[in-house]
Amino acid sequence: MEVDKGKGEAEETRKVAEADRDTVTLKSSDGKLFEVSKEAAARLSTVLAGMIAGGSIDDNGTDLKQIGSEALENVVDYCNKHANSIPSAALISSSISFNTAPFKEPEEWERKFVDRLSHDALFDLVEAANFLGMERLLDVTCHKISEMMKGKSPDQIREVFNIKNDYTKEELEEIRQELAWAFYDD
Amino acid sequence: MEHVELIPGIPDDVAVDCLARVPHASHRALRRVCRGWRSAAAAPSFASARAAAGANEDLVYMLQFGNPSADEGPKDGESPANTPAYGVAVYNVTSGEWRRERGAPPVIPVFAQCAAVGTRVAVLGGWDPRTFEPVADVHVLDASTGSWRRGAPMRSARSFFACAEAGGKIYVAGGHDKHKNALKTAEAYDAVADAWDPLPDMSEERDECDGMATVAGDRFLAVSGYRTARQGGFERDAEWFDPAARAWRRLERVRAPPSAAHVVVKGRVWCIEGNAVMEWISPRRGWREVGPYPPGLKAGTARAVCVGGGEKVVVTGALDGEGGGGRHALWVFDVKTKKWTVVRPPPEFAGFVFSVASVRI
Repeated sequence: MEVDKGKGEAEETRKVAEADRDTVTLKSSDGKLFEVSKEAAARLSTVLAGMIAGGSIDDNGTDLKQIGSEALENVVDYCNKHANSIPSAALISSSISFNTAPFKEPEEWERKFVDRLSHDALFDLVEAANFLGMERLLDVTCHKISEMMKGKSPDQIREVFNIKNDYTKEELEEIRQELAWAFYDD
Repeated sequence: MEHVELIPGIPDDVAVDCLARVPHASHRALRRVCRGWRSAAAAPSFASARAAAGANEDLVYMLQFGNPSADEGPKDGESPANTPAYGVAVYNVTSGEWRRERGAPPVIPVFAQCAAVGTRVAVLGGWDPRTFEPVADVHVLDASTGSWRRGAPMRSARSFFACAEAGGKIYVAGGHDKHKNALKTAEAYDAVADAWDPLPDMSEERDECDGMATVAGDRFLAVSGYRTARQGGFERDAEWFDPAARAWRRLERVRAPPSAAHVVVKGRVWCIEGNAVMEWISPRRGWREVGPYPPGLKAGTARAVCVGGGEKVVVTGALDGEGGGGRHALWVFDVKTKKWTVVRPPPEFAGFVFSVASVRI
């Protein structure tokens, strides 16, 4: 796991006041303040890492106008939990997948973390993760959303995700045809 | 026109990332949700998002005979229609799931063979199940959409031919016609254009020859086979097609012991035979051992296919000795660890596999 940004910051003892603080304060669109570990924020979010490195962090609360307090609370919660979790090698060995692609399955605690969220909270968290450039959190939330589609009928999917069926009757028939063997009678 | 979000409340690129992580078995439902999802699932960005998310699945397509003992068990009323005499079965190497290919042609020519290029699987030749005469039929599945099409037929009806993908085309060569004459003809199929390229004849007739792609995957190799006059007298030579010169080149003494299953792994010719997995070393004109023999695999029954660009080799064949009882199984070889995993299929998928192809989705 890469920890370059946070360590690099700590080594630079430019300002005494800055060095004292190992957290940053983030402010939601509705004005609530949240503290998060500077190291975790820098490691998990490319946007926050850039702000920390660029000195654009406000001690009185860095404005994140695009993110509501509930989503920001979840972001901060995720960062803190991530900082405390030990990367688990056991999970990789327990995988029955034959893929050798990058291992991106959520860990147990990440699964629990997203499972307890309401539909709206999950979607807000996806947006926040996307805005903050939090690749891992985006992986975990996108994975959760994909699981909500798995094994469902088109009708069920439309209902869960509030999607309008914009197919015409003819198009639906065409799709049905493409999946049925069309050469029975030739 | 107003832009319709793929998933309301989520940016479209993130929505594609979510869709791409859904397992292949649910893709059919995704395509039917709305227009946007259907085109998203067909776009190149969907395939690249799957790869990036580690969501790729490896599917092995098998042309398989029904398992005669599968019907002995309790019937649930639906299974008989699902077990054709010869049909398309799919093993998902990634998830371990087995299924029948939905929408496959109702009758697959017996001993038809298959090969894959990209996400397309072509089912070629074989015998008409009523007359037992070789056919020139071609059927093509696009595994990414689940849709089947009848393809342009081969120039010649053939069965028991060499068949493999090489350089993006599906080659067929040799085999025999309806008079049981061994063939020296060959042709190459472009699955996207649905067109056959007639190739020059090989130097020899080759019935029951083995086909494979070799040398960086772009050269088709037809191994062994026998002439009409030498029924069952397998030759030890081979020939490969040189696409630049449009000519066949001969190779002498390449054949491993009879009844070997050949497979190409990252450009190298492997052979499952005897006591081990062997690799052809062309400068030395010989074989060297690269792994143990699949445990419990009955000699002479193997078919092999390379999976996931060379990460795995999947072998199908009969189980040997006691407890085998004529049942067939599947062996998965991990190229890195050199370990075999035996997969016992459900009874309805335990028939003899005649031809295999693999697709990564």
